[in-house]
Amino acid sequence: MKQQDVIDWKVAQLSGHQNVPMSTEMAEFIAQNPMVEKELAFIESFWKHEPENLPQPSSQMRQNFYSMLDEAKAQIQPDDVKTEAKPRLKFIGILSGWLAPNPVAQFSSLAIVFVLGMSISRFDVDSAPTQPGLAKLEQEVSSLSSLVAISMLQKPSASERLTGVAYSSQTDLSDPNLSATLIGLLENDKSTAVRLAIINTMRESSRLADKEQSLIELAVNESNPLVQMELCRLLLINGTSETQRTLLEQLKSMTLHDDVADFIREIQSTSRA
Amino acid sequence: MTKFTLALLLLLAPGMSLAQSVEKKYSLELTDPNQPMSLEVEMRNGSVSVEGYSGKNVEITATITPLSQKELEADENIHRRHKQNIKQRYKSKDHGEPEKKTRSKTGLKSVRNATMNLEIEESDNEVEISSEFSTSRIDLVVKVPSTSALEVELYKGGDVIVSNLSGPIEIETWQGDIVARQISGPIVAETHSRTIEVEFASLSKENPSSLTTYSGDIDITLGNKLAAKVNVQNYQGEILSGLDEEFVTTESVKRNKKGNKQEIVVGGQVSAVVNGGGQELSLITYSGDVYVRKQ
Repeated sequence: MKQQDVIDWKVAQLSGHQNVPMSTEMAEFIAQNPMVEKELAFIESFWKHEPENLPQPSSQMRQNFYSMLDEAKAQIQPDDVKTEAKPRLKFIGILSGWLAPNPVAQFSSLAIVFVLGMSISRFDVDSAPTQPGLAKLEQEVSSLSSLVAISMLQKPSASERLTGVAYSSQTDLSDPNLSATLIGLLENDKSTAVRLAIINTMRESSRLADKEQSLIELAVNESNPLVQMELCRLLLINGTSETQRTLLEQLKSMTLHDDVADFIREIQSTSRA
Repeated sequence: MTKFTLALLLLLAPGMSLAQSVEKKYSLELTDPNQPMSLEVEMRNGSVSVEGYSGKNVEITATITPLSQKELEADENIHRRHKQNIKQRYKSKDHGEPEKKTRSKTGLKSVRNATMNLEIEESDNEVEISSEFSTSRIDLVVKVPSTSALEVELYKGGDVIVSNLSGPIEIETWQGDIVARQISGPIVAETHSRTIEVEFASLSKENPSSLTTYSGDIDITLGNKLAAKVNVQNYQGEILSGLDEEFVTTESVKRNKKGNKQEIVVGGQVSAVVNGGGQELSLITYSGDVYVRKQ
């Protein structure tokens, strides 16, 4: 009996892939290894979306998660960017399966990435920043967040796409595929809520500059006044001075919705004050 | 797969005046009654009422009333404006479509004005009810298993009323109110100029919920034990709260690292963490008021 066997059993139980009672051998193994018991409790807590109940993982548990993420990334990378074949853990097989287009399973993977992100934030506060593994783990989580975000952003349900936008905001939007997906949705999504959420995410991003030209075009052509207002606010406050000048010039030559025109005047007067 | 198509040529019903309503009832058996189902309704004119119940069939009552000439003309104007909006939105893109030639209508009368079409389709527990090009008003009352997922799009006309549903809900109307009672969400609802009123029994932890109206009010009631982070983004209206928790501004003046650029909030967003916080519930309106009540 190995620790990984116990974790595989727990995940399979939680995901509904199997409903096999715990064997006597496994129960004995857990009884002899209190750390395994804590790790199972940790997995169950974030599976059930109870981050407030999460026990603080030990350094061994962090290492386990680090390995898990490393393996996961290797499994989901396209073949041509795979650098080294690694043994496929059963657990990783399940995790890769979650990234397949299955709504319930994908939500489970979201929970894992989300709670891992939360756990990392907690480590940042509690631990010394000298641990090199944590920086790499952050990178891994950001990478997984991008993958899950893109997957969620392509869902037919608006509330799932809102979740995708929330996951995008946990990355720095440096992934070109994620950026392209967000811009595409900002242009065409039928839900105003999704489009406004994307603008809010871009407001927090430090990588706005390379999207400003596309955003000017969207702001000028937008027919939804709420979206047009927020696009203008984003560009007039967070954009470069060149972007601000270009946008204002283009808007001057247009007949704007009265509310949009008032809103832009208010932004300008507040900025000048 | 089960499919009903109700195509009624009213000109062939001599005993019926154009203003007379017709009521039709259907009971639809699901492919697998023990599995969750989804209902998608897409209509142009009318109203939709969906109620969750403990049964396993989908019970549909459709009341069909032909539109008056005045309503038809108004409808045609909205349709024309909608098409213009789409053209405006895509004006910068070259779709390579030739301009449509204007044709003479002299001596012709509209036949479409006297027809209606309602289609009900079930496939693998997914039920679709659609009537996009009807010239009649269709008032739908549908009873579905209470765990059903729901999606409603109503381009013109009356209200959408939903009750006792625990599945995900998406509703989009242009001119009708949206009312949802005893639901758990997630719900994403949007109307242009009317009110959204939602009474939450609980709030799904799965995905965020959002209610958006341009000029209407938003009125929500939260169950006593419901945990959520309620975000309100309004520009001109008032926020009226009956929560014990305070709303606090989530946006403020921000400066970049060099200190030479700042973000100044004009249309602010405020948030309240209810019962320790949970999934996000966003309420967005430009000129309407926001009412947040506690049960």
